[in-house]
Amino acid sequence: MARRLLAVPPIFVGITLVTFLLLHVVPGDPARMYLGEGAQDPRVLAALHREWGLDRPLPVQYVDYLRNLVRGNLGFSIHSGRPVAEDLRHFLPATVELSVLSFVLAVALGVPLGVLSGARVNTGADHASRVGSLLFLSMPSFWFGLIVIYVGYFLLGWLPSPTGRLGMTDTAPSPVTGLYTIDSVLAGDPGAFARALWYLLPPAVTLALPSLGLVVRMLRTSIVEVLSQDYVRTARSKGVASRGVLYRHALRNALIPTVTVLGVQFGLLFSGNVLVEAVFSWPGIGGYLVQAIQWLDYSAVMGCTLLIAGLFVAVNVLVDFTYAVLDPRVHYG
Amino acid sequence: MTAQFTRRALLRTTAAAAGAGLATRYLGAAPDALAAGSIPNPDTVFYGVYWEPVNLDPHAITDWGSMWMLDNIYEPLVRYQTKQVNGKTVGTAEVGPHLAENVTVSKDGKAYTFRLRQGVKFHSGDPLTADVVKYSLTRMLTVNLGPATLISKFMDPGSITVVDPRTVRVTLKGVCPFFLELLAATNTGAMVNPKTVDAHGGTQPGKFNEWMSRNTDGTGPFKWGQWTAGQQFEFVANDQYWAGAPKLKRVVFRVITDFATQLLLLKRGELDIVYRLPPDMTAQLIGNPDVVISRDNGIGMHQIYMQNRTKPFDDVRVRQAMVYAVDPFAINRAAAFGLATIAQSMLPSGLEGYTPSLWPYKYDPNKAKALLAEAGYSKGLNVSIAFNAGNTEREQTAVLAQAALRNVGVDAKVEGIPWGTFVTNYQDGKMPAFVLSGLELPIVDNYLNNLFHSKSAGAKGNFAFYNNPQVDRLIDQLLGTADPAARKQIITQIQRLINTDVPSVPIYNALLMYAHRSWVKGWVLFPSGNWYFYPVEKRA
Amino acid sequence: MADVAAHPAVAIGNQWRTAARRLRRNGLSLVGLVILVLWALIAAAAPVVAPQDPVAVDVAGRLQAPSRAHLLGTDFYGRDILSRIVYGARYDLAIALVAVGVAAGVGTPFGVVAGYYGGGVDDAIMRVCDVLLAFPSLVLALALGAALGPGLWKAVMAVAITSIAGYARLARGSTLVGREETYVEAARAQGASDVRILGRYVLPNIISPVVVRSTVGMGFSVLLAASLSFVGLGAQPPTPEWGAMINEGRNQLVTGVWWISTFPGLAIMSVVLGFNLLGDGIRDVLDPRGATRI
Repeated sequence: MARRLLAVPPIFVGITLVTFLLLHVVPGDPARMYLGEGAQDPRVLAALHREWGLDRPLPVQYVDYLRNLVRGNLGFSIHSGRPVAEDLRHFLPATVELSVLSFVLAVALGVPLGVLSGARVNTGADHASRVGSLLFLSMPSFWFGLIVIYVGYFLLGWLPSPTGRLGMTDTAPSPVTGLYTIDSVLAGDPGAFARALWYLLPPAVTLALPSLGLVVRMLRTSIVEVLSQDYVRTARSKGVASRGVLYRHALRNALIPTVTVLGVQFGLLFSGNVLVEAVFSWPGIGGYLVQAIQWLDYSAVMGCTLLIAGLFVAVNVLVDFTYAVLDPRVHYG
Repeated sequence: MTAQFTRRALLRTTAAAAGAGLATRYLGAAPDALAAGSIPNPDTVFYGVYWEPVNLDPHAITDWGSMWMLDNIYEPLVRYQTKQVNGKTVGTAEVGPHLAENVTVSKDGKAYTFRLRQGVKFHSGDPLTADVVKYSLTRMLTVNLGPATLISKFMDPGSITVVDPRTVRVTLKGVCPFFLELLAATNTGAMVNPKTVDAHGGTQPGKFNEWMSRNTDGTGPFKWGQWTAGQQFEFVANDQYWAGAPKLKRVVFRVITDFATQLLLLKRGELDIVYRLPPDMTAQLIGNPDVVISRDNGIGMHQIYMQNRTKPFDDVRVRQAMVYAVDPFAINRAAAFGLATIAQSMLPSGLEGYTPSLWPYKYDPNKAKALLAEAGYSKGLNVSIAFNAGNTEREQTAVLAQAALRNVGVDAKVEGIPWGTFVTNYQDGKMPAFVLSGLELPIVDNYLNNLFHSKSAGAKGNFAFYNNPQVDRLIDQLLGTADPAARKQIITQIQRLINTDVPSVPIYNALLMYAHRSWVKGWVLFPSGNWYFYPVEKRA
Repeated sequence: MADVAAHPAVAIGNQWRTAARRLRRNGLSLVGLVILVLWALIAAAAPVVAPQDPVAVDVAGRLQAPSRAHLLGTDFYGRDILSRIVYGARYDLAIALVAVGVAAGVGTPFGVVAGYYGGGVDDAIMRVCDVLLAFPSLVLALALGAALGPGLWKAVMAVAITSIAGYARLARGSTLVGREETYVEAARAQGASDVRILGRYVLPNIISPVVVRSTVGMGFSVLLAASLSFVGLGAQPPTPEWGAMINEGRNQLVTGVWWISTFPGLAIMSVVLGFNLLGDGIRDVLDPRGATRI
């Protein structure tokens, strides 16, 4: 395990290097974006280049970035006009809330469906859940989001407006964690909690479906596999009731590979957000990143990818731990 | 200039423009969330915008949206006036006194004396005095961003004299016929409170003030309220406003980057106003009795720029062929739903000296082919037309031009470029052709100088890299001319030359288009693009 | 001697035969195959199948609901959506093949080299892969897309680069397994060259996992490329790529013009579903133990 952890810092340096290089390959000048469309004074432009160090050689700029990063300084965002760290702190809760809820939905619905499917292979229920989960995996989530808005909000008027975390006239609960659902509970306001959840639901469901599909498939395959293993057959022959077999033996072993997939999925949810957030006007990291890329907002893009990739790596490490706990046979040198 | 469309008028326009049936299709089946008659939140306007201000320092902002917004918080000495047309209030490009009670100009046209209005107070309580004016104008010259670079050709801090606590005189270095127009812009003329600025770091050359970029202290009818990044920002009424408290208590700007969502919310009455909807979106509101569409011709041209320095567009015949090949009426019908005013000059229609009768072109594909053949491209030509990805109006223009050019043997590749790369590329002249529709101040000298003077080539505004020494000379001459008749003559001369050279393909006047619920009253659009919430109220 | 050398090849021959049989038995995979073959036929015969020119602008007839004249309606420019979807099949199938071809073609050799030689080469290649895999694919694809610039084939390259590391890691894993097999040891002991061992013993081991991953990867590539088109980095107008078409209809959706975005979305879904179903079948066949499970 220690070895696994030691591998993390170099990966981070790699992430910064790749992002930095990619960004500087993009033709364009952030200083001009900052000064806006229309007439510009070249002297002001030159002054900005000097101030931001854009006139210096790339390696120097990169080392400077790393040096600031180590000090916890992520730089200044030209499209929001704020420090990147402040922006990330501001936009992260919306993304976390969305990711966590869609993850919970994917697991809460996916595990029972997967178990059902695996325990009753080749029945109607199995076929239905297999095809369903494949369909979920096969559709572009941004497209499904649009359809959800069109049918649910526009045609039927059942769903909340796609205005982000709250409606026009709602006020956000006083910020403690930045997660509206938690903050409203802390404030003891059930109405606000219901509203926050209501607005979360459409994007969360949209985001959850592909992961749900994946969970169902993984679990089904694993359960089928485990149920055909010798020790399960042995247990069965010893007269253990089949429900007991399923839960005591099969599920635990089947969960091992599923946990891996779930972990990866959870990490991916943060990036799957990018387009779904845009479709639902969700004020999270995804929308911030897309805008930052378009604006050539170097510091903001660096900050976002570091954060997203960082979470992704952290989740993967965590998954490895869980894996080791669930399966005592796994050891890390 | 401003046209407030009635339902019937709009139905007529579109029916004529795009064939019967369109309007009914656009009516859609959406149930409005609100029953007629009941107005939700009568003292709050919800305003849908797709941007957020980067900066609130009035002398350092360079984007139009922030400028128009801040003009509700900060105020200049002079401002664009309204007039009554058929019982309706419309905005004009005429400048009149605002924080100044009156302005007198000396005989030689160089000295401007401003007599200040009494009882004007900053939100923090300090009064507006002549010293404040001197401080504010000096600060604008020191920060030196935006139009300040133009105004500094005519004045420096030494030009400003405090005559008495209520009187300021500015003595220009030369005659500047558009001095008051320049002062009417937020980022040149805004009055700031010296005490507040100095208490938070003062003024630095070429830079905004950190505190001022997040906070405000103006004299306007609204104060800055809460700001939740990425979600909303708001105005709160200034009850101590010198002309009386505004009718609205709050103006809430909702940040929604998706136009379709904005449109949806407006239709359902959850938004009251939507900021500059693209034409294809606005057209979907035609026939909706609950929505009023305000449109005006902005000071700018929706046009296809061509890179004048390089092949094939360095040949004037090729550029003229493009103008003949692209039918502006067809693009107006298709991309702007007939809502725009067709270009009939290289100048937008709102500018002094605009003369449509000089325009020699009309749609003629055969003439285009002949010109191309003459230029040596009888076997066809490959070009590429860029637009910034996500801008549907520009994309539609590029795609329609592409289809039109195919008819004259020109194979055009259309490319959507991400915003940042797009801006840098057009300023550096790296794209052969691209669609752009920028806005400028309603000052012809400024417009000509920025767009057509060879000294402005590149980032300063001449994105076509157009270079005609004769035009340069005439523009320089115009900058120093005050006599209206002489100016008219020079502008006509310039217009003839640039019309012949067509550095770009003008399609139609840049559109300023806003849609609001019909219960929003008193909302007026100005050719400069400005809008003010002071007279606005919500009622049936 | 001959026996040892012939062993894997014979096994593979049998394997393919059983494979075909098992695939035929797997109904759902067959459905996937049929979907893909249908789309391939449509793509190949696009000029015949499409009722109209997919890029012909007809402003007077724009935004028409599905009708007999336009079975799937018309878009903002009056272009026939059915024709655009038909021609779009060419682009989206090509995206799938090229993106996966490049990714597998580049990633696999690197993985094999890493796995076979081990040591410093392995470390170097795998550290690069670790970094690339640390990016969620959409984020990396977006960044690459921005760096390469807009355009369909540039977007395809972005998608391909995004998936290279996955193939490298997969190939390395399979190579490691293959390298330890007794017959490889035997061949090595007999003095077979590296190239011969790689080609004869190691590659056959890698083929099935790579094929399985590629099939599912094709569906994934279509989705990823469509995402790039949706944000404007992919196919450029008037190219009828399906993701770009969804984006084109997005603004109209809210006033009831649902057909512009809906149909291309369904097209994407059917193709990706086809790849996924087929991938499932191929996996059951080539890799019953599930070594290549995602």
